[in-house]
Amino acid sequence: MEDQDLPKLPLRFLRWFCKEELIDEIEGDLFEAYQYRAQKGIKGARFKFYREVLQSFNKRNIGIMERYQNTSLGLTWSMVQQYSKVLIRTMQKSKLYSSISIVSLTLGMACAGLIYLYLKKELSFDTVYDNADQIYRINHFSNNSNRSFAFAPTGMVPYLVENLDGIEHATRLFKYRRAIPITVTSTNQPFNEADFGWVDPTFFEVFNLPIISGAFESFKRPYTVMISESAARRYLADKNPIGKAITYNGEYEATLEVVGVFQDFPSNTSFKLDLISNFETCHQTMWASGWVKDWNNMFVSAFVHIKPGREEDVLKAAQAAIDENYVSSRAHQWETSIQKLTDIHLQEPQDIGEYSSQNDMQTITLFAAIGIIIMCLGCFNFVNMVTAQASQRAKEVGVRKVLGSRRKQISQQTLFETIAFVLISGVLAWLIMSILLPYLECLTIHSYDIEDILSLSFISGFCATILLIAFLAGAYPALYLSKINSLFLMRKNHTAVGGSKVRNVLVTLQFTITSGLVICTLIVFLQMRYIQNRDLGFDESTIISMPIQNDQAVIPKINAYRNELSSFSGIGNLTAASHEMLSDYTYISNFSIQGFDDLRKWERYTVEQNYINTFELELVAGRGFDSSIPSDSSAFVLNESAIEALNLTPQEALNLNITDRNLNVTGKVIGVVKDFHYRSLHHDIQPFVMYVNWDRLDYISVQLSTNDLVRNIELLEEKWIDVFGESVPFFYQFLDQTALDLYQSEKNESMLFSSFSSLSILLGALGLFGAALFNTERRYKEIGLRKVLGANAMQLIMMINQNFIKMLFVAFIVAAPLAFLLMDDWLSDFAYRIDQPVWVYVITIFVIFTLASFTVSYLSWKAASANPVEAIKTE
Amino acid sequence: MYKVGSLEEMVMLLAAAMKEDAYAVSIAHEYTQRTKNEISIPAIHTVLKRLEDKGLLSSYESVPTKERGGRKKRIYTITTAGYQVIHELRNQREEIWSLVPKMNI
Repeated sequence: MEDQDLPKLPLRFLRWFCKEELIDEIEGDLFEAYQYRAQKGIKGARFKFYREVLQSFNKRNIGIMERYQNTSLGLTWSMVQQYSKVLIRTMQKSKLYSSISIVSLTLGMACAGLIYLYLKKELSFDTVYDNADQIYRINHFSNNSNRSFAFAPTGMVPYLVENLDGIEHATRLFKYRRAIPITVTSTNQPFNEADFGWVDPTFFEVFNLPIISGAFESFKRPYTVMISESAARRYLADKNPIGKAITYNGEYEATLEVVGVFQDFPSNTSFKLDLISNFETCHQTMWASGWVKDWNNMFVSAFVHIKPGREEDVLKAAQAAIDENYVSSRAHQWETSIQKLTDIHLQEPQDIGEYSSQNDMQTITLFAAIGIIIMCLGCFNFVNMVTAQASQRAKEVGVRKVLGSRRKQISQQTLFETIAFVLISGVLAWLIMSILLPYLECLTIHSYDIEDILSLSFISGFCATILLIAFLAGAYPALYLSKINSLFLMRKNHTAVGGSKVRNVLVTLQFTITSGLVICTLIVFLQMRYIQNRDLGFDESTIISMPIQNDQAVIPKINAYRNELSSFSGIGNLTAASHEMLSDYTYISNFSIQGFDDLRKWERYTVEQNYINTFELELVAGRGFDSSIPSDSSAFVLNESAIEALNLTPQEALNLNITDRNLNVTGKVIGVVKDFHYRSLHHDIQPFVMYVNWDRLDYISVQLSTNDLVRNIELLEEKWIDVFGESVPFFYQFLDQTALDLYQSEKNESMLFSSFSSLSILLGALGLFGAALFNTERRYKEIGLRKVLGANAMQLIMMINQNFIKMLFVAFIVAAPLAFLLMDDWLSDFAYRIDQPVWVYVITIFVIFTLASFTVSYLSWKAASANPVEAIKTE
Repeated sequence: MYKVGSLEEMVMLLAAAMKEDAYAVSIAHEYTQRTKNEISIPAIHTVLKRLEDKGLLSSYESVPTKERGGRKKRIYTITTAGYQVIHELRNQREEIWSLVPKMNI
């Protein structure tokens, strides 16, 4: 009986784990017992052999650890020196291969590192606060209008704090969605502040931002304000801001005392504030007086720090409270929910009331995938280069083997070289990252500093990744090189050294990924362009708006201002409204419409008579507002969606009586406008109402001719001061800029996306270049011979390109449908989307083929046009 | 005086009795033959190694043999200390046996 009869698997296992000095005895004994038992029955013997091998796997016999200790001890200093010397010589000898390897690895790692930094920021939203995971936001969903609100009634927070012991702290936040003018009293300097919020004094207990100076206690008084560090610097440079006064020039005027300075909100928070003032101030002097404990209006966010395990109680209490207290319409159903603060950024945004642009898990996963893919592309190139060089290294390995190197030592050397390569690339990648950090800052909303990549956690993670890559990328070459038979290596013509299959597969895979990414990038780009260029229903490029903050002193003078400007040809229509067009918020009112029993919760703008003319909105029925008709001072215009919601034709809707229940304004419908985008294209168009109401006008909008823009704006300001006086600050904003800002995050994402995919194209090209280089070098002599025998350069180029063209074709066939499906999924998220054009696919295949042919043809042309004598002479 | 278990005692006895032919497989075989109890090779290995650690057995490698596919055997012999231990055990038993009244079975 021979060894072969023994079950292979347990035998290999035994040989793997067993101590070297015990293997003979144990293996021999088990073998003998097996033979003996096999005479009675082979099955039983085999079974017992398995069992006994497993029984032998005990502490006394296991020698795996010692073996690995031995190898690490086996790598002596002299060996390191020797390996390094060989490595440096190899690098010098094949500079091209080495640089392709290092460039690929470096780019891959740097890119993956940057993506990691970006994702880390995105995933750590709102985690800066100590109790972040116990802070919840109370949201409401309206069953009537089918929309979700990130708001709670003003009365909710005080009610919960008073009646529930499950709450540690809670605060309301009312943040304006437009800039608020303020004046620093001591310097009399006006500022327009975008991030002003009213909060409860408990705000800093819920969100424990570091307080830099000032007494936190004083914030409990009304008429106090806390300002951010950057705001403090802006207002008073280096002077101490504590105790200084700021005049709030919003809808009312109030003097606020600065009582503290807090550290700026970091970039990864879902709301940021520069000025935080006590809500009580609103209560005492402003609009909030009747609303502080009101249950019928939703315009404040409610943040509660709930004791662990009490979430259900709070949710139930909140739901019960709103059911009981929401009285303006009994029929109105609100569904309360609580959302973790840390989930806000990546979960589906609420329809109304989000303070910052959201992201979603899909984009995060997409970026993570790109990071890993690019890293893999880099590694593929490296593996390809190492195996391509194998035939050149083969002789060295052969000599080493003949001189007594064991397989383990050959792998050890290869692994050493891999680690050296990866380490060099790692250091370079780190340097590149530190250089590119500011650029990453431009492309994402976050701020990064060098500490992000100097932190212990980052460095250790980075090193771990480097080692992982080294082992993954090094494993194949190490096994491959050490496995080759030494006699075969010593033979003179060893051109047929294998591994080309793996190389071809890797190159094909690379091109699959690259062409997939190219397709995706083009489609993302097209979709973005589509969104940005979509007809909004009005011409945003000619409109400029100026905030007037519902200033009752300004509003009556609007007509005078219009008249002053009417004589200038560069200035067109002028109007005013409660909103800046495309602003990210709308007001919602309950409308009752003649002939309909239920109240409709619709979005509305209050406007001035000239609104429809100024924006050149298209009417589908009736007429626009007319200032010469007195009854138009409370006339209503609806959009098509509203008419559809009522199931009427536009003609039927005319002359219906309609009442805004919230503001108590009644009027007749005089016209219906075609749907236009009063909000960004992220939101689909809802039923929308415009009516004339001179009491609520917050923005003046003017049509400007783009010729001599500077002069026109100067004119606007001159006349502004003439009519309204110097005390009313003049600020302006171009509407097309507002429109651009709306898509900033998408634009950034598409920029990031395209930079990474161009990088992947570069890596793909490098990989192909390497593969082609290897191919032509190997066939150098063959090309020479063919040439001597009469082949011309063209035929030779075709011969070499053929192989690559085939691979590219396969890659494209695989990539195209995958990319199609992926992009189809991505596009389905948009309310307004493009169809995937075929030409994108044609362009991609064309670009990839051109790129590849250039890379390959250059090399093959060089080989084909060389003097054949040279080729034949070389050995 | 070492503490030894009954399996250890048996293995030592067998090793002493089988002289030059005492290695794991033969001991296991003999053990099964005499006690009618199955025992696995790794179990014997464990006992042998433990006794060797205690200095009650010593071992040497034999020349490779063909029936084992060219692998060496490890032959175990009893040391003086080992012999003393089993001898002592035997004396103890006999002392006690002498007190046991005779019975017909």
